[in-house]
Amino acid sequence: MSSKPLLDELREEEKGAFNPRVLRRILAYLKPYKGVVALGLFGLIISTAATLLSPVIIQRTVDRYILIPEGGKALDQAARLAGIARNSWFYLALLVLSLLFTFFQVYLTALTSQNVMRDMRRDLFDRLIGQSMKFLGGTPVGSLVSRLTSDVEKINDFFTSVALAVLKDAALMAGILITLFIMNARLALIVVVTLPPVIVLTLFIRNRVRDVYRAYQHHTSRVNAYISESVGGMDVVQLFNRAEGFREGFGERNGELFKASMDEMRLYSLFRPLVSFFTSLSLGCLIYFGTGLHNSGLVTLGVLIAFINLVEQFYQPIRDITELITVMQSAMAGGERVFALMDRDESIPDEGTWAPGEVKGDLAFDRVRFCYKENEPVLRGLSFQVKAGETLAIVGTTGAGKTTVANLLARFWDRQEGSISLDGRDIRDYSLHSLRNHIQSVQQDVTLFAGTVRENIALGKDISDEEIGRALEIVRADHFVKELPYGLDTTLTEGADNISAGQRQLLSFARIFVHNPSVVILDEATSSIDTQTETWIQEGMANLLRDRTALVIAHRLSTIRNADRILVLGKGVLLEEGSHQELIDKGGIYFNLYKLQYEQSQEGDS
Amino acid sequence: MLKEYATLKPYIRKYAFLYIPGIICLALTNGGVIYIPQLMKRAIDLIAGGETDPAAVGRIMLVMLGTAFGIALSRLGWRRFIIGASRRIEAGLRGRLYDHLVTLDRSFYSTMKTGDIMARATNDMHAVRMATGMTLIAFLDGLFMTLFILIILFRNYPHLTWILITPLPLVTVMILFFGPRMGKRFKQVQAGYSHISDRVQESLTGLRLIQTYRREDYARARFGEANENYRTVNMSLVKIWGFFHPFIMFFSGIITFLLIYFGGRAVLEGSLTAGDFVALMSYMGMLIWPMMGVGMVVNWIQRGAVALERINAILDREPDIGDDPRSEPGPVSGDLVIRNLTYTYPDGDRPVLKEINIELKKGMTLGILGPTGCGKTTLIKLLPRLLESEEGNIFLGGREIHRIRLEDLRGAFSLVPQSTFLFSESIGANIAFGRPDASRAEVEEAARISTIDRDLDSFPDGYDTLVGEKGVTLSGGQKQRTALSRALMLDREIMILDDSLSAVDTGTEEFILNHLDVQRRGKTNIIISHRYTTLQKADLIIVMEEGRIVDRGTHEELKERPGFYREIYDLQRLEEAESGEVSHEL
Repeated sequence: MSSKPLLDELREEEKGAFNPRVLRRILAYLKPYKGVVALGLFGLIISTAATLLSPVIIQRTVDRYILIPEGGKALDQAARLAGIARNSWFYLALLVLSLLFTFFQVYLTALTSQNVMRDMRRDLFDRLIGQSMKFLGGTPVGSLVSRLTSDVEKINDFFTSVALAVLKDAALMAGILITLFIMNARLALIVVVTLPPVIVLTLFIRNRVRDVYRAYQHHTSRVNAYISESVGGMDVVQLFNRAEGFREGFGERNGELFKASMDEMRLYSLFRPLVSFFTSLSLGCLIYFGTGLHNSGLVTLGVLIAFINLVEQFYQPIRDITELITVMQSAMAGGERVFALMDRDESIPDEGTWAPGEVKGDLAFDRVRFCYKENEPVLRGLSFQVKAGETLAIVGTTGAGKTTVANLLARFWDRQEGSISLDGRDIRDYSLHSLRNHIQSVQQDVTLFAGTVRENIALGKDISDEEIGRALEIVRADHFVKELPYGLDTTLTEGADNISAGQRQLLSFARIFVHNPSVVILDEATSSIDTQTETWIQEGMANLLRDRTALVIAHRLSTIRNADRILVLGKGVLLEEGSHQELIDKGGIYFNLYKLQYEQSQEGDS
Repeated sequence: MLKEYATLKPYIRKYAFLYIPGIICLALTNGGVIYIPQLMKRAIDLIAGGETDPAAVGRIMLVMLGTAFGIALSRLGWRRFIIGASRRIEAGLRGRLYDHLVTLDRSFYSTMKTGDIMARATNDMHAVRMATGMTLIAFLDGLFMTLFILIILFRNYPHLTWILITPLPLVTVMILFFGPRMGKRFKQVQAGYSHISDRVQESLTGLRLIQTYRREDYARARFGEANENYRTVNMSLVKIWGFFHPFIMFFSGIITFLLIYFGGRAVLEGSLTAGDFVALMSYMGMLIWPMMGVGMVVNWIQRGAVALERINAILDREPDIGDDPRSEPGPVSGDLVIRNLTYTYPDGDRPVLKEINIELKKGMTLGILGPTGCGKTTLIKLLPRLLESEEGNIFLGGREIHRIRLEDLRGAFSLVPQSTFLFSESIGANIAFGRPDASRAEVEEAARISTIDRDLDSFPDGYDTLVGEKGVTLSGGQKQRTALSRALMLDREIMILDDSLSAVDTGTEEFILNHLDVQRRGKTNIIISHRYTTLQKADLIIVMEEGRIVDRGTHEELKERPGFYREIYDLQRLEEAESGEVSHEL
């Protein structure tokens, strides 16, 4: 009815922020781009090194040439000026280097992550496209779509925000600490001693960040689900004058989301100012104790200045840690869902190799058993045969297993017991490709894509306009296609609500006709169609089924009577079999069913 | 681009009481941040003087910590005030968007897909929040810092400052140059994203078809194209975006370079103290963030504008159908009269309804028959103004429908459409949809008439069974019958069944029609059907072809004279007769 990522989001709440298994899967996608990744890392190293080197250059310049410490080498004015100039140019060179390599690295990271995203989406799509109906039946389309879009996007954020930042920040922080200790171990120790409050704060906030983020996500998806559903049913809302109630309902959810959002804001608004305060605390201690050390000649002024510079840089990444945690968390949850989907396989095994160019079209079901859900058998040992070229009508009440017969024949599901054969060979011996080339079906609900009439008939196969035109004529769809504003080039909208149900049915006949299978399965539409279109459909169907083996899940009396043979199904077994006349003469179940269901007004309708 | 922000004006005004203290806090923060290097300068100058008294430095450091604490407090303040305001705006605007969505009609929903509306209510809302919160902060922060620092610098080091700020105008030039280009590429990325969603959605809904015809490669190619395109537009954005950030860092580095080169000389010449040098370095470091902030501000203003443009596209959309100022409130009831009604769709070139005249007395049942596409559904949609006709053609209870308040007009109708939408709530809640306060007995009665009560045993929780993804999937007939119950609950003046029993078998249909007859006595009904059996009891039947009423009368009259009705009747009778013969032979 509507896409509901809600449950998935709820599931996300149970996951921690870090999941090594998911990370490994993500990293596996980097393999094809090893070279690019290596180059990117190289860029990262160079640019980080340049960033670290800059304060060192400044320190040296200050200590050697600008403010020569007592006991330092005395240089004359000219030499000092020359030194300043030399180091300045060196600094400029470092800047250019850093610029080039940062750009280089940003570009390569984006290239890598974009390639990885594309590959993931491609793999997911390939996975989905091969799945059986069982798979789709259990998962709403909307949530599958968000797997391919927003979840993959979250993994992208992981690359561009988290992975890179973590690498760079870790390198930078470690680099700074090392530099500090090399420059002056005592002063470095003072800096280290001032770290614990920040560490405690970070540890404390980590779990809180996760909690508020979860709450926020939860309420976001509730709001989204509500919008999505009410937009879908807006007609009904308006006709029933329920707009006010829905406004209130939305207001309530929107208010909850707002509260969660404010909680998140309050937490974040506390963290960053505190980190900044601790930075100042660290600097204050540094300068205070630095004074003493300077007095005793243990620290030069240049070193002290460099320390101030480096300590400020050291605290920088900590401020961003809350964002890293949330991005990480959502990326891991996104990855979890993406890979869970990738690992689900409910495709029909395609192990057959038999791929004949032509088949005659003899069909046989032999003691076929099948159930969709365990212990709820739909077919219980069904057997019947269809000779090539025959038209077989299948009738029976709802739940008799009519549609299941069609599903099993084209292998949208696989039977559990018994055998189904085409031209005397088990359908599993055929390759899926070949089987579905020879057996094609028309659904009650005709699927049309956003595209032209032509595209919807050819489905990407190379078919000439003459062929399409001929097909339209034969299935009696030419009348209405000619009436369309652009004929074959008329664009059908999503769901094709610009043409009627009957017209859609006719298009689906044309589609079958150009793809020319030997066996056709037709699930006759029950939706109402006017008598004129109905006549066309009857004629079109007759033309379509000529010279083909046909299984028609029939609702219309005319179809049933014109069939060569009729199967009467009831609760998954064959109850009666024969021509219309034979079955009527027999006066059994068909006769009663016929009287009950078709006698009154099945004709020409419903 | 900035004109899109006009939408936010009333909100900004409304939350001025948060923005103003927020901005004051921000200014205080900036003042504090700028004061700290002054303290450091004093400390460094003391230290550079040699043989410093640690206590003196300690005192300065205490002042510094005090200032830092003040900064932390004012930071907390502006975050709560300004970010709080932005989140209030987000929630308010989202509420407004939703309230507006509820008023829009089919003509809007047929042009905008659900996914697109969702994106506007979520992602775009987020971008607006960023624009009214962090972006504003980054902008003001940058502005304050730059101003404060420049004032201090120019007052204390006028000559050096001129040299140091030369790269700044270049930053502005860069932003002016890259800004619009970035905005364009952002749009492309957003479009690429929804393109991918569409393609996936389409393939999954049509998966069975794809597999039937073995067109997986075709589907893959269609998706692959969208997939590759998304990557390409993203990379084209990175080419600018990825360059932008490092470049601004580079500019700030250039300033440090100038500081060492020229500042170093100044120290040697004695015009600058060691403390000055450190303070300058700090200030220059502080200029980095405003400059980086400029990048962020530009980016988010762009995104915000794009997002607002998309949100405004909905907000500015007037419902095509609204209340006429001359309309009078009050319930309506009475005869339904249609006079000389001709209707052409707004985008159509020829009329779909021509000169329709119907007079339907209160309490009568009207049957409509006609081939698909003859305008039946259009006709009945015009009555409760789901589609808009010209004035002066349709009257209810003697009042022109445009003069009736929309709420009252629609309140007179209950329509059961061809295709049924149920909400993912319980079956009971779906039936009681129009009257959430209805008693269980009323719900059960409505369920009985539509016969949906017969199916309840097969649902796990009876009336409380959830419909849809989280509950049971109803068959077409079950959906139609639930929708019928839902409409019956309202007991409106006029009930319209638009072929809404098509998926119900004939026996059940007969039961439903018989009960409707009793239930709806004295009220008006309009029934569209393709079966004469459904229509034969109607007081008046009209036959429509190509937008015209080609015949009218009762069943008895129509079946006697040549025309579409008799053709249908004969056709359906013929089949009946044949089957009668068959059974007779037995």
